[in-house]
Amino acid sequence: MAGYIIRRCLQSLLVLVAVTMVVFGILKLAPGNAAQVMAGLSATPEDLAAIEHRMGLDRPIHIQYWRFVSGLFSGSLKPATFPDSMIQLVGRKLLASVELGFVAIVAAVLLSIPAGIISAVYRNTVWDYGVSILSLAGISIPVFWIALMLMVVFGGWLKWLPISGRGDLLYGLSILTADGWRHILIPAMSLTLIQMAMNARLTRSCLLEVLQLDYIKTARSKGLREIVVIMKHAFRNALIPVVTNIGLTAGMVFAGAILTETVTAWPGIGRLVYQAIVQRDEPLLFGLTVIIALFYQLTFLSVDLLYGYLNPTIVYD
Amino acid sequence: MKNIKRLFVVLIALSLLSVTFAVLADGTFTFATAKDATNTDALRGDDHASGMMHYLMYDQLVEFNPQTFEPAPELASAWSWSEDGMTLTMTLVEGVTFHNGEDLTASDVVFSFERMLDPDNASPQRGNYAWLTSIEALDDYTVQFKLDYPFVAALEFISLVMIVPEQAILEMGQEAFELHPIGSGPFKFVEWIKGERYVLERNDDYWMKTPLLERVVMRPIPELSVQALELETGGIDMVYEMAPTDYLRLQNSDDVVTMGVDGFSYTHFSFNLSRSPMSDIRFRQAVVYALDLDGATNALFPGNTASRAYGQLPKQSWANADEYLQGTVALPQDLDKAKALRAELIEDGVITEDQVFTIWTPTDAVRTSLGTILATAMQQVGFQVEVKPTEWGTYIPVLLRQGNPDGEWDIMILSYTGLFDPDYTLYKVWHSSHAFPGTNSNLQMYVNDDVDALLDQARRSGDQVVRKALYQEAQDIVLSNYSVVPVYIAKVMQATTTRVKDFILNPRSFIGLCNQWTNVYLDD
Repeated sequence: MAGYIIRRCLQSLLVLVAVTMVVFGILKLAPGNAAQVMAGLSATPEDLAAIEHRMGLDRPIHIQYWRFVSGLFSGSLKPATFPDSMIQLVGRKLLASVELGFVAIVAAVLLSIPAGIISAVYRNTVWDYGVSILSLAGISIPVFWIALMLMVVFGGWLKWLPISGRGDLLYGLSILTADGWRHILIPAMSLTLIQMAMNARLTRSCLLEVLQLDYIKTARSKGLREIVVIMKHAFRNALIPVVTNIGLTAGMVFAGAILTETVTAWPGIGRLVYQAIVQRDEPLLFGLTVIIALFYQLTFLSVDLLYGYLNPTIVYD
Repeated sequence: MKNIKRLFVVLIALSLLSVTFAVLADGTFTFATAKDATNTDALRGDDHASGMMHYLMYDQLVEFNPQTFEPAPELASAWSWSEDGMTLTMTLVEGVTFHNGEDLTASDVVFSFERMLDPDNASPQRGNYAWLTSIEALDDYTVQFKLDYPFVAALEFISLVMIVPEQAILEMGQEAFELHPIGSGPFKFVEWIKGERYVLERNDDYWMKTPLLERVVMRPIPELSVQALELETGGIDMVYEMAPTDYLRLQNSDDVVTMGVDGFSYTHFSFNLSRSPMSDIRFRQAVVYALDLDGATNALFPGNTASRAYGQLPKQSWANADEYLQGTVALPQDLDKAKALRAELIEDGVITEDQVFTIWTPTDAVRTSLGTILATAMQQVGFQVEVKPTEWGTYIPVLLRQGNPDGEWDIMILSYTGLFDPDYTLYKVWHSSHAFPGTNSNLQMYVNDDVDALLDQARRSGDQVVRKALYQEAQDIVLSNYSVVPVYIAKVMQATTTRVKDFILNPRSFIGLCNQWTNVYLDD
C-alpha cells in the first residue's frame, strides 16, 4: 500500500512536470504576447520592446520557462495584473471553489443516489420515468442557463436570494455565515443539478446490471428481504463507477467550474482562469494550470484509494 | 422659555446630526465591472476598470467638463500659453495634500510626468507624449511644459496623467506603491482582491470638497445581464456598461434610473490597402454597396441605442461633420451596382470567382454580429467570405502585421475611442507618419499627401473654425476613398438605483463621484 502511494506520487510528479512544459509551450505558441495586450495599438515599437523587457519576454525561452517554474515554487512569480503574491490569491480562490464544489457534490450525492436506486428498483414505473426525465434535462440544459434562471426566479422575482458574489466570510469561508449560505445556494444548485443528473443515471444502470447477477439470485433465494438484498449486496458493488464519476467531477468542480463561477460572479479558481485568459496574464495562467493539475492528481489518488475500501478484492501492488 | 429654546436648538442640532449620520452610515456605493482592473498605478494599468479607480484616487492637473467638454482647472488653478504655442506654464493649487499627509507640489507633478516618459518604466502611455520635450518645476507651485511643436490637444493628454507622490514612491518602491497606492483624490485606497472587490474610502481631507459617499466598491461581475439583475434587486448601485436589451428593459423600471448619451467610440470596418483587391476602390465600393448600414445598426442596437456614424468624430465634437459627410460619402445599398462592380473585377482579373475574403473582428457579441452581417451582405452579391472572431491578444499582432508586412487580414472591424480634440482621433489613424507595419494606428496603411498636409495644418492652428474646415476636408478625402467605413457610434448606457443622487453621466464613461461638477450621495 505505502509502496503504491509512493509510486503514484512519483507518477503525479512526472505528470506535473509535463504539465508545466505543455502549458508553457502553449502560452508561448499562442500568437501575440502579453506585452502586446498591455501596450495596445498606439505604443511605439520601442515602448513595446521596453514592456517586453520588463516582463522578461525578451529572454531565451528556456530561461523564461525556468523563471516561471522556480518562481512558482519559491513564490516570487507574480501575476501580471495583480500586485500581490500568487499563492495568496490562488489560495483564496481555491478555497472558494472547493467550498462551492463541496456543497454541490454533497447535495448531488445525497439526492442522486437515492434517486438512482429508486428508479432502478421501481424500473419502468412513474418514479423511474420521473428520474429519467429530470436527469436528461439536467444533462442537456447548459449550466449557465440554469444559473441565470435560478437568479431570475430566486433573486429577481422572489427576492429570496442575492444574485451573485460570495457574501460575508468567516475564516475565508461562506458556509460559516448566514449571508454566505444565501450567496452559495444559486451557484451550488446549478452545479448540483448537473452532477445529480449524471450520478442518478449511472447509479440506476449500474444497479440494474448488478441486480441481474447470480449472487443476487442466491441472496434472494435465501429468503432475504428485498431491501437487504439491494442495500447490502447489490448497492455496494454498483457504487464503483459512481464513485469514479464523482471523483472525476469533483476534480473538475474543485478546480473551478468556469461557466458557473463566471455567470454567478463566484470568485473561484474558474473565474480567475477566465480573467487570466481575457487579460492575457501569463504568469497567473501558468500558476493556475499547474495548481489545478496538482489538484486533479490529488483527487484521482483519493478515488483510487477509495476503490480498495469499496471493493476489497482490489489490491494495490 | 429660555430652556425650551435651548432644548429646541439641541433638538435641531441632534436631528441635523442624525441626518448627516444617516447619509454617512450606509454610504457605500457599489458598482459593477465586467473586467477587473489590472493595476492600481496609472503608470501601468491603462484599461478601463483600472482607469475608473485611478480617477477616484488621484487628481489630474486639468479635467474636461463631462457636459461642455471644455478644459477646467483642477490641480492647476491657471495656465497660460506662450506666443508661439510651444510653452505651457501652469500654476498649482496650494495646500493640496496626498493621502499620506504630504504636500503636493510642483516636483510631484514633474515626477509623475517624467516617470511615465522614462523608457525604463515601460509605460504603455508613453507613445502618446512624443510632443512633450520637457517638464520643469519653476518653483514649488509652478510647472512649465516645453513642446516639440505647437500641439492643440496637449491639455487633453496632460489631463490623462494622474499625479502621484514623489517622496512616497521613492521611499516605498514601485511594488509596494502598487500594493498601497497613494493619491490626492476624493477617495483613498483600502483593498483590492482580484475578482472580488476593489474598495476605496472617503478622503476626509480632500482639498476640493468633502465627498458624501463613505465607501466606493467596484465588484467584478462578468455577465452584463447579471449586472443588470443585481442593479434591479439593489445588490449594486450602478452599472457603467449595458447591453441594449437590458437598457431598454430597465427604462420601465421603478427601481432604476437609466441614462444614455452618444459615446466617444466609433466602430468601423476597414480594408487592407496593402493587398489586392482591397487596394482597388471598385472592390471597396462593391462591398459598401452590398451593405445596408442603417439596417445593420438598428439590428445590432434596437431602440436607437446607437446612431449611424458618417465620420470618425464623436457627435458632441465641435468638428463633427457627419451631416456634411452623409451627403458626400455615404453610399446607399445598391445590390445591382455591387454585382456589376464584382463582375467588372472578375473580368479584369483582379479577383477570381471563388476567391475567399477574411473579415476579422474582436470576439464580443456585437462586433462579431457586425462581421456576420457584413459577410452575409457580401455573399448576397456573390463574394465568398469567412468571418474570424479573434481574441484581443491575438488580434493586435494580426492588425499590426507582425511577421507579415502585408497583413493576413482583408477586412477588419475595430472601434476607436477618441478624445475631445479631433486631432487625437484623426491624426493617428490617417497620417502617413503612422502608416508602417509594426506598432501603429494607421492600420489600413492609408497614405495621402493632401490629407497629411491638412492634418498637419490643423494640428498647428489655434483657430477652431479653421480647424473644423480642415478636418472636414480631410475626412471627406479619406472617406470617399472607402478604405474605412464608419458604421455606428454606440450610446454610453449606464444606470443607477434610485437612491443614487446627483450622478452625472460622462460620455467617456468615467464615473465622477466627487469632482468639481458633482458630489454623489445616497438617499435611502
